[in-house]
Amino acid sequence: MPEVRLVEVSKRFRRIKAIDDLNLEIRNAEYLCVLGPTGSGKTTLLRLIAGLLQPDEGEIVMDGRRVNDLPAEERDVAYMPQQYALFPHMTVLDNVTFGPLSRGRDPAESLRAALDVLKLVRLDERADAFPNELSGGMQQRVALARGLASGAKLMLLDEPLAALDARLRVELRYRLKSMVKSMGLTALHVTHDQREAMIVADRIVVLRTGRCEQVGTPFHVYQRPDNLFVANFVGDTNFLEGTVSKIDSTGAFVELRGGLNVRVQETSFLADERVVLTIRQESTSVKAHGWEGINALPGAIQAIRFLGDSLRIEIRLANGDEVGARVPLARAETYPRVNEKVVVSFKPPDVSVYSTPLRGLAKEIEVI
Amino acid sequence: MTEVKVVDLTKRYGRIVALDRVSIDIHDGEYVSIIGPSGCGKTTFIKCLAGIVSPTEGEIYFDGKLMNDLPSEERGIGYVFQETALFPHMDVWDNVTYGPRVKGWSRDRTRRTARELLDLIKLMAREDAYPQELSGGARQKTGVARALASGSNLIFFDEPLGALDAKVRAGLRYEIRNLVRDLGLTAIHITHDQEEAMSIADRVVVMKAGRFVEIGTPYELYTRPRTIFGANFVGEANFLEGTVAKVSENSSVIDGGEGMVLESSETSISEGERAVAAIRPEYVSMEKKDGGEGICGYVETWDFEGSTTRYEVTLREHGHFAVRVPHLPSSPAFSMGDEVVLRVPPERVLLYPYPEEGLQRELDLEGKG
Repeated sequence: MPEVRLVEVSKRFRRIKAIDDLNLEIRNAEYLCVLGPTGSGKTTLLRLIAGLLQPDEGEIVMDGRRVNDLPAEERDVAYMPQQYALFPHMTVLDNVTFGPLSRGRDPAESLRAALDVLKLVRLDERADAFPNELSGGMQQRVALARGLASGAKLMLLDEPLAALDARLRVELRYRLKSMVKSMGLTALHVTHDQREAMIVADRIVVLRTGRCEQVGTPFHVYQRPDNLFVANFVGDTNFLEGTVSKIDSTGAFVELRGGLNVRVQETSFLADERVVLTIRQESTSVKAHGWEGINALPGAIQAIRFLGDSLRIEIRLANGDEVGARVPLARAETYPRVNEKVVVSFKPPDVSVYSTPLRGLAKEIEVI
Repeated sequence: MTEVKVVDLTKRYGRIVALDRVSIDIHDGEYVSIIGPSGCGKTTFIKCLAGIVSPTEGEIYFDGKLMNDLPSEERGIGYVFQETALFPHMDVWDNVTYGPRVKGWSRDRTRRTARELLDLIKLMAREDAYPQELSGGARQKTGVARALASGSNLIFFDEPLGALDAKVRAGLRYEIRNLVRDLGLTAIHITHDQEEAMSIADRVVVMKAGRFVEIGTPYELYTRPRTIFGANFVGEANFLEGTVAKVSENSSVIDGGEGMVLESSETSISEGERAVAAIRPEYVSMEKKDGGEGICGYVETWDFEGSTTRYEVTLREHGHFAVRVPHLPSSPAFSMGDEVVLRVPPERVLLYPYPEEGLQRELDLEGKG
């Protein structure tokens, strides 16, 4: 049963540290998503575990055994790179059964497993087609099927759904997870799409410049981001900079530039400390001009963006700060118009407080 | 300042029909997005408009003038692809001013145009950077600026954000939209990402197998899709089959069998006809079973999506039903196995005639239909 541990692993490419002192545990039968922007080391991490790269420092342990020097073909893993290569002269079905058969698996059993996974990726009707007869998205699904049916217990999937149309991708991510689970596999799935990670993962590891920013369940990562980078990368978040002005027993006030005040529940900061407030866009509400209540920040609507099941209202506050509010579509008809004056509000428990980063907010949350 | 009129445009490759009699009028300054599954003909359509592919039949007019036989370079258009091939040996400034210089514009005019564009896309500070020194997003913005610098009034985007990370993509789409608005251009934007299309377009076209199956504002398309395919392709929907049992003045009753009864405020299908009802997951209200009327089932699974939670409810005889509710800071309100009752307001139940070739065929995302 695969259980993988990385202990203080580093990997350098000349002067660039692609993986920087990383500790990570992949549990047996777990679906772990590796989430991060381009260049964060996601692919390098997979290639280290696959055995296609050797770490410069640290240890990779599989099932209690150090595998740093174990060649790729002797590790029980299926690696699906972003640039997957199918055998062009073999049909879809032969591509999928090739691995198990060459490992000496029972032909009838291999065929059954292959047809099962082809059904999962909705290509059972194209089993006799050759790769060049398929679209790019279909070829990616064949590569995915080949990995799942390979007989390996650990799946290393590099952007396995990236080549698919958005609509199909949404559908396949549900199926992919349930297939991995029902086959009892362990999966490490790399993606830059936080929504995809949120849905397929048991746990998410957020990477940035080769370092782990946070590991946890999707719920945990979303609800309690460890830092500003994660708060920005996962979900849609408003950031407001200010200074703690007053602290009492149930919370504090933070003064934004322009003299606007925000009430927060957090009390662990000092008076006069510079802080960054984060509020999820879905926890940000838009009230009529003149609304009075706790955290009433006046502003004007800059734009209204239609997102399908919801609207995003972009507001410029009286002090020049910009915030977004995500509101359900059902009430769209009653919503105000561009340029209209409104009041933005959020509840004190929905506001998280972070120390102002030394290198500045913009640099801290920068995606690339 | 370009008005586009397309009449019965058809493109055949041997026996394959890539475009099948499509027509549209695009107003001056309008932003139109085209979405559809791979192979539906999106790219063929704009390649015909750009003069890169000759249509088999039909006419293309820009500002009332027939374009069919006019070469690409005389059509006054800009074209941005997924991978913008910037000149690697030229910096941002030289890339952007390339078109004007080739066209022999005056130094002043060239500089003014390039400045305005680089200002708008916030890349003035990077004017002397080379493409390989830029992030993917900045490269793509430079490509847009270069395409616009030659003074085109009509611009085509073919998956301009497709190669970028999700987070970068979501921000850049608004920058592109604002740029096109500020310059007063007409734009046609192809994407496979329906949220991208809806968030920036004045109107959205849904394509399937070479045809335009929907044309409408994002709001119309989301709330009142004309076709089952459109309802499925744009956003998520639950589909239930049944027979129209009763039609009254402002509602109809659909009998799904096995005790499943739905009310819809649509009345376009006659009594006794087979029909398909479509319901968006976020319009369904879900409560613990309370003995009242509604669709009964139990919670099969739930997925935390961030701002929302998506439940899958198993109905007794009708498969799965998706329900999406705003996420509450506490843990999920329902657990697996909970008996629940689902209710949908009649005005949120969309109704379609049962498709001739069956429901599954209509929902096929490969667009082979």
